[in-house]
Amino acid sequence: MRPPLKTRKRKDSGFTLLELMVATVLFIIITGMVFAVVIATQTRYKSEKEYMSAFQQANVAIDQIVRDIHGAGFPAKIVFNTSVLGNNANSAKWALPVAWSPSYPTSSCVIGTTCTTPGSWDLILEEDLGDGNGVVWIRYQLSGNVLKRAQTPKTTGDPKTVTDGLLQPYLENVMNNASASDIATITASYPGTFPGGNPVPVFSFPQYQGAPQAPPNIHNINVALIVMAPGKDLQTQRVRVATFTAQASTVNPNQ
Amino acid sequence: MTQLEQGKSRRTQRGAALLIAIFSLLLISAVAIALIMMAGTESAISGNFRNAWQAFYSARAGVEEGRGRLWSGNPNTITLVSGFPTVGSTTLPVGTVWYITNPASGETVDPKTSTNNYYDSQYATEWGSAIGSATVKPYVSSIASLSGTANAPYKWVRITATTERSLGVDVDNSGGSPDNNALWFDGSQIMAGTGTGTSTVPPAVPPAAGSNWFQVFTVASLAVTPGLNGGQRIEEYTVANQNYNLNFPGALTLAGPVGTFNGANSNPYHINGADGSGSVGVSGCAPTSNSISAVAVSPGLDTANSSGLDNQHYVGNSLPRPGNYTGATPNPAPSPAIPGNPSISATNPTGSLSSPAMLNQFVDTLEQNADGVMQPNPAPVGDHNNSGTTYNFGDTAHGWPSGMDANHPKVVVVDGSFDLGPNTGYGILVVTGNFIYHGNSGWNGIILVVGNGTTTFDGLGGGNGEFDGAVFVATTRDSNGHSLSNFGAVNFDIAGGGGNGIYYSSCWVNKVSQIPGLKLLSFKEIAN
Repeated sequence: MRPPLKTRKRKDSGFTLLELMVATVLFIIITGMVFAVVIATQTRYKSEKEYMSAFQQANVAIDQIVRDIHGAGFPAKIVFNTSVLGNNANSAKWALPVAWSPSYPTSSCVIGTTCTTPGSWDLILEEDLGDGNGVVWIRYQLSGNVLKRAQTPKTTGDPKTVTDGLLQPYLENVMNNASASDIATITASYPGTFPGGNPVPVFSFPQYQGAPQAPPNIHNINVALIVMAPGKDLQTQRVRVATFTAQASTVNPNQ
Repeated sequence: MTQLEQGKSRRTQRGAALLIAIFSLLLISAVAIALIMMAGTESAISGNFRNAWQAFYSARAGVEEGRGRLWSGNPNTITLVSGFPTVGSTTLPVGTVWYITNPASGETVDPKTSTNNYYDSQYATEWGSAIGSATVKPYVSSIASLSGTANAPYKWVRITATTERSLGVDVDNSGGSPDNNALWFDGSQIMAGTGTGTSTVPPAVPPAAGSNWFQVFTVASLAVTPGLNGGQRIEEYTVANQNYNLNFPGALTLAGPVGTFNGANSNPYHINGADGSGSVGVSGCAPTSNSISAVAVSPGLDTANSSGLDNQHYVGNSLPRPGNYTGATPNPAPSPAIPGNPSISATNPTGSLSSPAMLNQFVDTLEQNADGVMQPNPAPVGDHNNSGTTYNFGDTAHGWPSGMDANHPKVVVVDGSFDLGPNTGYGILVVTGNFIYHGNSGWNGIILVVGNGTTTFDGLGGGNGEFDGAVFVATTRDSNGHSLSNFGAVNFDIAGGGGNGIYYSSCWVNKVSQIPGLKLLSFKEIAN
C-alpha cells in the first residue's frame, strides 16, 4: 500500500530553495567571519614575527659586541718578551683592547675630540679569536641607521684605514643617530628613549679613575642599541622600538 | 512525524555531534599548540641568552677563586709546591695539574675521568696530551664565597704552569711551534726560555733564588648552567705573583740632603750591604752573592748643613768607625777618598723610590694594602698624614696588626711617629713622622721613614737586635704636609750606640714586598 501523499512528501523531499539559500548565506557569513579572524591573526602573526626577528637580531648583535669587548686585548703586550716589544714590526702580534685613529699606535688621541675612532658610533677592538688567524681587528660602526661590522687580521697600518673598505651591514634599523624627524616620531611613542631629544651613543666610555679619556685608559664600554621593527603596530599604528643596553669591561690589562 | 520516525531520524544522525566536537577540539588544539610553540620558542631564546651569560659570569667566579687562592695571604691558600710562591727551585712543574672542584648537590665532578660529565677534554687541546697522562694532584674543594650559599655553577678550576703552548703565544718570537717551557714574570713582562735573568734577557729556568721573577700560572674554569638550555663556558686567566720591585741602592738609603749624621760609636754596630740571610732566615730562600752599598746618599752638595761637602763626603767623614760600613765598593770612587773606605755611594734611588711624588704614591698603595694603619680616631682627612702623635710597637688599640711573626710578616703604615722600643717586627713598616728605637730592637723586612719637615731615624741607645732587609729614610712633604718636588733634609742619629746594625737581605726584601693577590696578565675565553 502506498503511503499517504503527505507523509511520503515529507520523507522523500530534499531541502527547499529557501532552506538552501538560508543555509548558504549563513555558511558564507560564518565562514567569512572565521576567515576574517584567521587573516587578522595571520597578519598579526607575521607582524609579530618580524618584530621578534628584528629584536632577536639586535639581541644577537649586542651579545656578539659584548663578547668581542670581553675578549679584546688578548694577547696583551705584557705576555711578550721585551725583545719582541722593542720592535714595532711585531706590533701585529699583540693586542691592545681598543685601537684608535689617528696616530696609531705611537701617540694616543682623546675620545670625543681628536679621536676619529673610538667614538660614539665607532669602535675597533683587537683580539686573537683562537682560530689560528692571530690578532684581528674587529670594527663596529653605525652608518646612518645601519650598524656595520668588519673583521680583518691586524697589520702595522692604521686600523681605521685598513677596515674602512671592509665594513659590512650587521644590523639594520639602528636608530641611535636617527634624523630629527625619526627621533621625534619615536619619542612620541617612547618618550624616554632619547633624553633631551639627542642621539644616543652606541658606545660610551666611562672615565676610569680620573684618567684622561684616551683609548689606552678604556676599561669599561657601555653599549646601547635602539632598534626599530620594520612595520608599525597594526592596532596603534605606532612605530615599535626596543632599547638594548649592556655594560662590558675589557678584562685584559691595558697598556 | 510520528514518534517512531523521529526516533529513527535521530538514530541516523547519531555520531555527527561527536565528529563535530572532535573536529572543533582538534581545531582549537592546533591553534593552542601553535601559540604555545611560539611562546615556547621565544622563552627558549631568552633562556639561552640568560644561561649563556650566567655561564660567563660563573666561569669568571671560578677563575677568580683560583686566582685568589694562589695568593699566599689567602686563608684558604693552595700551596702548589712547597715554599710557593718563593722563586727559585720551588716551581710547579709543567704537566702537574691542580683542580678545585665545585659539584652541585648530588653530582660528581671528576675532570680527569673521561666518562664524567665534566671531563676536561680541553686540556688536551692546550697541552697536546690528554689529562690522563698528566700528574693530577688530589682535588681541592671549592670554598663557598658566602657561607651557607652554593657558589656559582662553575664545575672545576684548573691550575697549571703556563707555557708558550698553553698560552698559544710565541712569547719570545723564537719562531716554530710554541714550546712547553715554564714562563716567568719579572714585574713588567713575561719571559720565556733560558738566559741570565736580567730584565732584557730571558731568565734561567727556574730563575735564581732571591730574584724578582715569579712563575706564571694558568687558571681555567668550566661553568655549566643547569637545565635543558644550559650554557657552557671555559675561561682562562694567566696570572703571576708580583712584588713592589723595590731596588734599594743601600742597606741604609738617605734620600735628599743629610742634615745631621751621627754614626754609632759602638764596635758591634755595622751596616752591611752584602746580601745576607739575616738573623732569621727566610724559608726556601738563599741570599745571592750580590752586594749593594752599606749607605746610599744623594749625589751632589749637601744643602742641609753648612759642611760645604757633598752628601757622600759629609756622611763618610762623620763615621766614627768607617770600617764597619761594608758592602759594594762605591762606583765611581769618592774623590777625595774617604778615610777607611766605607761603602758609601752617591746614588739616586729608582722606580717607586725615585722622587717624593713616586714615594707618596707608593705609600698610598701600601696603605690600601696594609694589615694595620696606626692613626688617630677619627682618621685624619687625606692620606698618610703625619698626625704628630707617636705610636708604639704592639699597640693594637691604635691599629697595630695581630699575628705578626717571621712567618707572617705584615704591612703597617703609621700616620705619625713611631717608637719601636725594645721589640722586633716583621714586614714593611712605613712611618710618616720620625722613627725611634731603643734597647734590643730590630726589624726583618723594610722600614720606610717617609716624613714631613725633617725626617729623623733615631736610635736612642741600642741593644742586640738587627735590622735585616733595608732601611730607607726620606722627607717627601714640607712641615705643612704639602708634597715636595725634591726630597727634603733627613737626619740620622744612632749616637746612642748598640749593636742594632742594618744588614741588607734580598730574601727579606722580596718576602715582604709581595703585593697581595696575583696579577692578571691575560684573559681569554675558550671556544668549546
